[in-house]
Amino acid sequence: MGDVLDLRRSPLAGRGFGVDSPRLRMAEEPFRSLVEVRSQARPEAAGVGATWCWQLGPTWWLVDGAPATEPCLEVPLAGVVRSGNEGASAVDVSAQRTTVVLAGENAERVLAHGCPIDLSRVPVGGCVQGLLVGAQVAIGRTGDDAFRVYVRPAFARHLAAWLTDAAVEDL
Amino acid sequence: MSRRLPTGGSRIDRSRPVTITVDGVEVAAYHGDTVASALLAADRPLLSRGIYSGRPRGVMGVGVEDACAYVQVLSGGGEPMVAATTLEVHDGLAVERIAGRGRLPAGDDTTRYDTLYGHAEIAVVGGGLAGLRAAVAAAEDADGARVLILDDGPALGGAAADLPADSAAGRELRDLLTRLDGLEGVTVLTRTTVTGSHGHGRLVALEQRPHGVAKRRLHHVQAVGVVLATGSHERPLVFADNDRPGVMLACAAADYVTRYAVLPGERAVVWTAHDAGLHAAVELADAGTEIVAVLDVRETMAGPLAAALAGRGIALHLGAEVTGTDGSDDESGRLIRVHTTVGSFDVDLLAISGGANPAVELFSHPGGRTRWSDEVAGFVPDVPAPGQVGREVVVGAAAGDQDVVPGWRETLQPPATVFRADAGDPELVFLDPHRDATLADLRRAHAAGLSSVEHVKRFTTIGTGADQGRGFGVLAVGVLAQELGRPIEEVGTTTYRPPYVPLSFALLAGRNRGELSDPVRVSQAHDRVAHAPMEDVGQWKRPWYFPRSTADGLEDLDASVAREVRAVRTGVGMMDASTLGKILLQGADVGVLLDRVYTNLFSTLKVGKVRYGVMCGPDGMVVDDGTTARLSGTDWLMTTTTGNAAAVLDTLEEWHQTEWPGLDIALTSVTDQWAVVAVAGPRSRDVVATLAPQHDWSAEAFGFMDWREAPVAGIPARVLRISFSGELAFELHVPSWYAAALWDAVEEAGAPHGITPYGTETMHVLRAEKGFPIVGQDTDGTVTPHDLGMSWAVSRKKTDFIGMRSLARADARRPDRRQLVGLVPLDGSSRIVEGAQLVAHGADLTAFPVAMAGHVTSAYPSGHDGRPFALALLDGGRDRVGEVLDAVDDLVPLAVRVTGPVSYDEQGARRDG
Repeated sequence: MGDVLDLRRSPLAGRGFGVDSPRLRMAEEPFRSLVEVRSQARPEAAGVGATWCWQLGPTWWLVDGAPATEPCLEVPLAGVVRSGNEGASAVDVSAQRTTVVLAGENAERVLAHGCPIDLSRVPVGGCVQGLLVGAQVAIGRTGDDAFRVYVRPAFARHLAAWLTDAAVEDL
Repeated sequence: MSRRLPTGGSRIDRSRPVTITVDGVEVAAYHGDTVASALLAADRPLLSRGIYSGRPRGVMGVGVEDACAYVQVLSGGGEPMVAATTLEVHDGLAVERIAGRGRLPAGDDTTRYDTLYGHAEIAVVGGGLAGLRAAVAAAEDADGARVLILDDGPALGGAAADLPADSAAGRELRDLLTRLDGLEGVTVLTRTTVTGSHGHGRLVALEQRPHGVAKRRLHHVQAVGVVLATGSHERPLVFADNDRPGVMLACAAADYVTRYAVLPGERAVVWTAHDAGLHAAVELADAGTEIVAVLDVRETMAGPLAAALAGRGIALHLGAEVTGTDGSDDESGRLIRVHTTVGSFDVDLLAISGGANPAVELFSHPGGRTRWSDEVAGFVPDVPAPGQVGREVVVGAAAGDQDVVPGWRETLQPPATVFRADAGDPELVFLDPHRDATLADLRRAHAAGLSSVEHVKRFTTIGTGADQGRGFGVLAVGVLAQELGRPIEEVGTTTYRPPYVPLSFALLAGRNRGELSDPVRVSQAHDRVAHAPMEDVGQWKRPWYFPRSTADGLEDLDASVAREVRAVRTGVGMMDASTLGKILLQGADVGVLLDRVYTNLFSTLKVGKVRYGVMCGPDGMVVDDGTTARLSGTDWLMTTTTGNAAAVLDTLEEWHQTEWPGLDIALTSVTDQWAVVAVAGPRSRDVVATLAPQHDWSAEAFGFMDWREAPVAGIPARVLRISFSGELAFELHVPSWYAAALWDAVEEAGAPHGITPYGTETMHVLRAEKGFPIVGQDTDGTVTPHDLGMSWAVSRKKTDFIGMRSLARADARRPDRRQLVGLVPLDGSSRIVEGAQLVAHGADLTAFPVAMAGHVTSAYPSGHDGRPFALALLDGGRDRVGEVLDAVDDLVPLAVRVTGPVSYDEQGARRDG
């Protein structure tokens, strides 16, 4: 069924989006397995191939794992999270958001052109949500100079166009 | 003749000559010059004209305190009303002198503007000695604190930068800058003017970036603590003919010497009310200006300044005043003579200094209150705004501190509180040259009974120019106090409001303009349908119709829609329905929630089935509708109208979180998770069977409002039998990254059946013929489900749902409520206009008021039978079928007949194909 996976098209595919300069790297990471989880405790997800588990709210989490390897109506990660966390709600949102990674010494500055939140106070592993230039996003810090921005596909082109413009002096 | 001195000039770089153009004439300058200093150096003092009087005006100040020296920038993107005293020169800069009012440049503004959000523990506004002391102390004391210094000059140092390097101030400045260099966490922004202090540590600042890609940047700064070290503005004194080119503020005149090596005059009279004016006289004399007289309004004067003047042979006249001036007869109108109480003098410069106004604007913006200080002879900060208490301090000259420069206080003589000379024609005493407002205007305001400073400001327009009264505002208050015979502290100042310097709307917009002004949402199948004209639905772009090329050219809307409607009614059509709002409800209590938020019963819905539901507000009025599919014992998929997805999710969250927190439910938006292609028409089953041949799609095996999982062209999918057209129809849901592939597959499978893509307009026609209302178009927040003829969707068994109580009120049951009906034109062919008012047939439209019986909510030129029809809300409409009314648009009546809302397949015979 590999040929069916090839039918997928990520929101920013073919848009020429991406930057790879000494001080800034921006790129889309498509097709990640993403699961929104409602549970009191941080969901146990590290053992199931998830790379990141972001806290979006008091009982609200976003688990980010490797892309599914087979075509599916629901990514396997959702079922794994559900069965591994008794009573938790887990919803597949893999196609509900795409992931844009920003890295480099100017990554935080590029976001600061539109993000009113003090990102320098967000620790590695921490996540904030809000509007970035009118698009709802979640921004997670993965390193001193690295962020993952989750955005709805419908807003992805707008955000990518804005990021490209905002980064002009930060390359 | 050049007035440039052979040496000196702390801000200019003589190795970098620059040429600018003023009114088309080239002017030589140096890098670091302002337009004002370049023009003064070129001995071209005329810089603008009075907005009403046309009187020649020159440069009075050296910074933002100048009232008049505004120019129109022609080069680059062009900009109206830029202060020549702060506009730095660069090669290619072209400006035009103006008469008090700029104009928006024609054409698009191609300048790039930027926005940047910043955060600091301490923000220091003003990088003079006082600000730098605070910044260094903060950075040295607080480990890891971010200290942000914002200064409007090209370099730090403020007034101290203009003092000799070997003076106490010069040495301290050097020491502070050295210490600052070694400190972590300090950020310095120069050429950055804080334009607003918005309370709670929020500052907005404008950065000029002559070398940036973006020429101007708007900073939004959130600070924990704010230090205001904004310094002071030199205040003039007024007298008759006080507005001529050649009349300058004294300290500003001296600053032109030290900063730009420009000698503002050959022969000068200096008139002052405080020591700084005497300082300026000494500096001007040392630079080469012949000071023919110094007048001081104070009666006594002792100390080193008097001695310094005497030592230079300069006459100091105490208790003296300037009473008027004469100007040249030529176009420049420049100063040639000064009349004083001690005689008349032929001079080309009159340097005046009435005092120093602490720059309290930023202190006042969030609501800080000032008080008059006789000691300072100015308004000083008194009570900070509530939101600033504990987080804001004012230091240095802005706080009225007269000892900012080391050593000054020891010899300081108290300033005098004097604002104007008593003599002269009040029509020529300009209290705000920017607005051409005079002492006579102020007296007229007083004579009209105005005594409040705020009223007088609005009557005379004093202080309402681009300079916001920085130069003359306090002075005008002082003169008003004199006229009223009241102490100035009682009169008080007008309110200072942001922005401190003018900001353009383009700057406020930043890069969020044009394509980026508002997000455009597109479906993941957008590239497949992007050739179609688009309709804006909220932020979404949706294909409106799909015109075909014909022998007569491209189809118009009506022709295209007629063809698309025919295709769905007789063959098969497809549309991208991905924009439908979708919410995944998960949990054991979802059925309970749905029973409460929908008017009909949902908890009985079986897995594999879909149900239509209507949602009301607490007032019983329809707020949304849509279908919900039960996916499993715990999972339900709700769809909402495209424009209402976020609002419905918010409403559900609100009820869940505030009223029913005990329910086991989780709500997750999945609008973008699923791409949806609707396949509609009698041949739609054939298309779906081709796409998913492994299933039986017959009406018996897969009935109306059934759903099932079934790969579609190999793509994992859910197939739902939902119809918004009355025809046999299927919705195909796939993860959105398959959207384009699904579109292609449906097009291919449908090709043998002549599948026709259709847009929102055709969808509207199809549903209108079936009498399906669109919430927000056929409803307006005053319409109940009963009004829509949907009593069947309102449960009579449930004990409660949102709106139930309101629907039981007598008013909600009135038979004459406005109800949904259909309309057809009496002549069978005229178009009904959406929004037209319904009145009695033949009503006299000139006999106001004309009783209105309803209005047209949806109207279309042709349905399946090619005839115009409409939906309308009509008083007691259901009982008026057959009645003839007039639909009035723009006073033109059209006779229409009332019908039922369903104009096609009333029996519902077509939904199974």
